Amino acid sequence: MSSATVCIDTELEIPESSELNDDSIVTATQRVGHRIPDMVVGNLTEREILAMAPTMVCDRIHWSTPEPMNLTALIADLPIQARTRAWSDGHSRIWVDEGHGQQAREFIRQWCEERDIEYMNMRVESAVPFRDVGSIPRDLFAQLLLATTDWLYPRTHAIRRKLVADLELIDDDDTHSLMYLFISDHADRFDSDRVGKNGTLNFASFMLGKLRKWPQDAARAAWGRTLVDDHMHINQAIDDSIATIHRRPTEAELAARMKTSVSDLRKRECAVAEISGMRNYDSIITGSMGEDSEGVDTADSVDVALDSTSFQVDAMLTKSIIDSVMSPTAMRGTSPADPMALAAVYLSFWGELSRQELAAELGVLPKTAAAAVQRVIAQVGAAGVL
Amino acid sequence: MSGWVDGTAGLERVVEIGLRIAPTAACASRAAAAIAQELESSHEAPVRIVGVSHEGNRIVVTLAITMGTTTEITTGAPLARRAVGMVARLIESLSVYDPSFTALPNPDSVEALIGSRVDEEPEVLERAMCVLAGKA
Repeated sequence: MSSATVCIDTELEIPESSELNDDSIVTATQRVGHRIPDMVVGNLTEREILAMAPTMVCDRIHWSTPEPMNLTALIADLPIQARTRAWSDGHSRIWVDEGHGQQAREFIRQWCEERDIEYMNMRVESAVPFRDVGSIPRDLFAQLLLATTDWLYPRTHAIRRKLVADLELIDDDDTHSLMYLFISDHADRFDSDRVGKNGTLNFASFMLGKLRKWPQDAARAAWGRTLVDDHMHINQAIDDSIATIHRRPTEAELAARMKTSVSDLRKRECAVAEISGMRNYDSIITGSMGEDSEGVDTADSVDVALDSTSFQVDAMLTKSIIDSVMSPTAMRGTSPADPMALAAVYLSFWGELSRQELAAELGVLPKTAAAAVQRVIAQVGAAGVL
Repeated sequence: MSGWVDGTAGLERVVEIGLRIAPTAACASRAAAAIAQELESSHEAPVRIVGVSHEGNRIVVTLAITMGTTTEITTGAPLARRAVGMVARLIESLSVYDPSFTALPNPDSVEALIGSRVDEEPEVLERAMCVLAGKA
């Protein structure tokens, strides 16, 4: 039994089970896809190969060191049974039987300190699936990895392109080797007993799921978590805006969606752009993974039409705001201008002020400041600009 | 965004509104003349150039208009109302250059440094805009 989806049909109507082809499945998101086949190496199926390294439940101790560390000597000294396996990221990992993770971590700390070995971020993850893939003959395991890589490689174009776009030091030519290493690294986590809507997971399906997070993980390793998370959130907000308002959001709209100020948004965008070398933050790079996405914007290819639209939309919003604060109704009929409302809206959306800060800045009650903002938003909304 | 000024009741915060004027590179000269003319004729509230830069195919001039002290703003004092009126007039008269509210630039940024120089010598605005437009 194998499952998971590789080709997604966009048809909304889901056919009856009897109408599906043999390799078709209905995914958990109610779409029609195709089963990913089990890999076969020589005369052996992946199940037969992986049965040589059955899934165990272990505690994993994971840490990093400035210099490569010899884990064989450490394992020989450990008072409990442990296994290790090298990952391409160079971090140290040791698996022990479930329930012994904390004890092993304390021993490893002490062991490192006695030998003046510097360690960083040593942590325990409890009850994780682990396969001791070292039990599988090396050539056979390598062939299984290669077969899986060869099957997945042509089907993960968008993932590869995103990886190359995000990380300047990675070329297209490197991605096959990197994908092999990625699959090799994650092989010890493959839990073939997991059951989903369409049965149990096979090796390639599991890896396809992991590969979807590959560019994100690689970027986090290269740039740090905060920056990558900012990058993701900005693009997610752009995607969400496009889905709802059918155009690229303005700075103010984007900041509002991200619940931050325009100033803060600019700082974050600037940091992301400086590190990643990207000028534009398009869903092509980080958001949607559609196979029909095309190319990556570069500093030399400014989208004049898009640029122009953004300026015009900002101008339209500004005009609407100023019209609303100049409206006779804005000041309860007493004046054609409402400076309080303009200041409140400006400081809320273009300043760096929360509602409480805004109230403190203007020396009014929070509800007074909020009411001033609401007066404008209501009129702008009524004008159909938002 | 805001700063401190001497007032009759001691130090009181003032609020400044950032307004971005964004002509295309092709009409940088004309826009410079229009902005200069508007600034010359605007006396209702203090206004200064705080940033000059380019973004895509646009030249961006950022103006800071002083709305008044927080007391003047919250009480709807005539000075603050006149400032709002001036913002409205600038938006109307420069509407062909897509004016929009914007955050004030970081004072240490290049655009703020250029803006500060232009504010001191308004006659160099056109030259600065043309340089940024690649026309000088």
